[in-house]
Amino acid sequence: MDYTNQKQPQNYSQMEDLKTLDLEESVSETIMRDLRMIAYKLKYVLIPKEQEDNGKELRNWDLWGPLIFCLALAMTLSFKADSTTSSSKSDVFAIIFVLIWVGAFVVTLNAQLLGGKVSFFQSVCLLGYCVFPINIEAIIIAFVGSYLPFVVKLIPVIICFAWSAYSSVGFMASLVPPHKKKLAVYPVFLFYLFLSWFSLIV
Amino acid sequence: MSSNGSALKGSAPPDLAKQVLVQKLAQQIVNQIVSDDVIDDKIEEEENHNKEPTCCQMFYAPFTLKYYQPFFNDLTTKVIAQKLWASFFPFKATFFEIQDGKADLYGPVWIYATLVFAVAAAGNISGYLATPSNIAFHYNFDFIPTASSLLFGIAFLVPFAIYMVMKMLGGRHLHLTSVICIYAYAQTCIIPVCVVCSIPNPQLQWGALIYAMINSSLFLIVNYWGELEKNIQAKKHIVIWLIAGCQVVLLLLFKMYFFLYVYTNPYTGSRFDQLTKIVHTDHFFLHHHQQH
Repeated sequence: MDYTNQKQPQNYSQMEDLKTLDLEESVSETIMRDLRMIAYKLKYVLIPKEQEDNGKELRNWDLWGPLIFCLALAMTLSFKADSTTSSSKSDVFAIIFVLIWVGAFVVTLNAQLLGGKVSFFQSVCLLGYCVFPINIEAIIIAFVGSYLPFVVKLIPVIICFAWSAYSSVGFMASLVPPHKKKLAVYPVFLFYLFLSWFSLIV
Repeated sequence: MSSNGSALKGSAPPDLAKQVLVQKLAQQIVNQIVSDDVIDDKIEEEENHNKEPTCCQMFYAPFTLKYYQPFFNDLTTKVIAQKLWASFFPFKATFFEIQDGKADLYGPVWIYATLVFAVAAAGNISGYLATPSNIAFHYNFDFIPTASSLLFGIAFLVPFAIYMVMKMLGGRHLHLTSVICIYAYAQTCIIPVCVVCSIPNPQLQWGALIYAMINSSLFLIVNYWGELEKNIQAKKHIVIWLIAGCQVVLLLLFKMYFFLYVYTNPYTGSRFDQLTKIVHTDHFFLHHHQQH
């Protein structure tokens, strides 16, 4: 992905020039480049119509996106945590953080053990990006949740949970042999159910 | 080769012929070296297959992924679904037939993970429904780490204890993974029981938990009955009491920690009452009140 308008370096001295240019570009440019990459991957993962090449884009995995969404979810839920729970804010933050990373690790490990041949970080990257809808619902419920009855709160929760699960299930199910598909899909379902339940409760 | 050489010798000048000969010799030498390497590699591979794993390798094998691969390899969705279904009908000893010698670790991991979620959620729901509406309810996040430690702890320790006791009393054809597997499937009945226990009625909760205890103990005992009868005859009561005792302790822990809050004060009316609009007749409570 070449977001800058620079030519590819032809020799060593040009490459050195490029490096100094990278160092000299403004911080906002560097950050925007990374953010654009994350936004591109996000659209690719969550909107199924963008996937024309059957998931090959996922080979360029990165863990920045998952980290940002995980931190955002943990912070949203821990801000609200003080008034409604008996645990402290840091407890809630820690539980969510550990749950997301250990959960992604265990789900990927499960898919690998069931015979799926996928790179470990590729799968963790996908699961992390699919946490984004849960982030949306957590923010919605955090801001307007106290004014809504319980049943109305359930609607965005169910929609976002279905969206997350649907986006990642397609990828996961393609990894394992057909007689084990449901076995690989169920842990993904349980993982997003756990996270949706948290965003509903807090 | 030699005919070519002689043909070339006859037609070309001697220098060129010598060069060609040298080249051919060099090629032969290189081929020989490469094939020697290949043969050496093949011999090494065979030797590695025949060699016993060293002490170090046996020690860190459980930390590699390959060690656990056999327990996930021969699964199909159908077999696992059948095993789960069989765990709800403890009077038929069909578990080992369905399993057919291939113990799996998929069941234990995901049954306990689902149980952690179910217990934490149900415990909080029952607490929420049981508190009166004028008291704010605080969601207890501590249920999750506690439930995880408890369930994943017993997942290994209790089967280990059962395995050791049965082995000491003379049981044969036992494998630790198989005991872990069947113990996990015995706990599946607790998942729907948790859903039922989210209603804060104490009689309902005790009834459901007693059903779970009986179901899981019976499942284990009936499936191990053949083994117990054949190899342990006289002392099988030790194993039976051990299994039943562990289940009783587990379910008491559930009740005392996760489902502790039930109706405390019938007059204020808990949130569950308001949800279901149970009408308390004045006669009943006046009578009840006068007795105290």
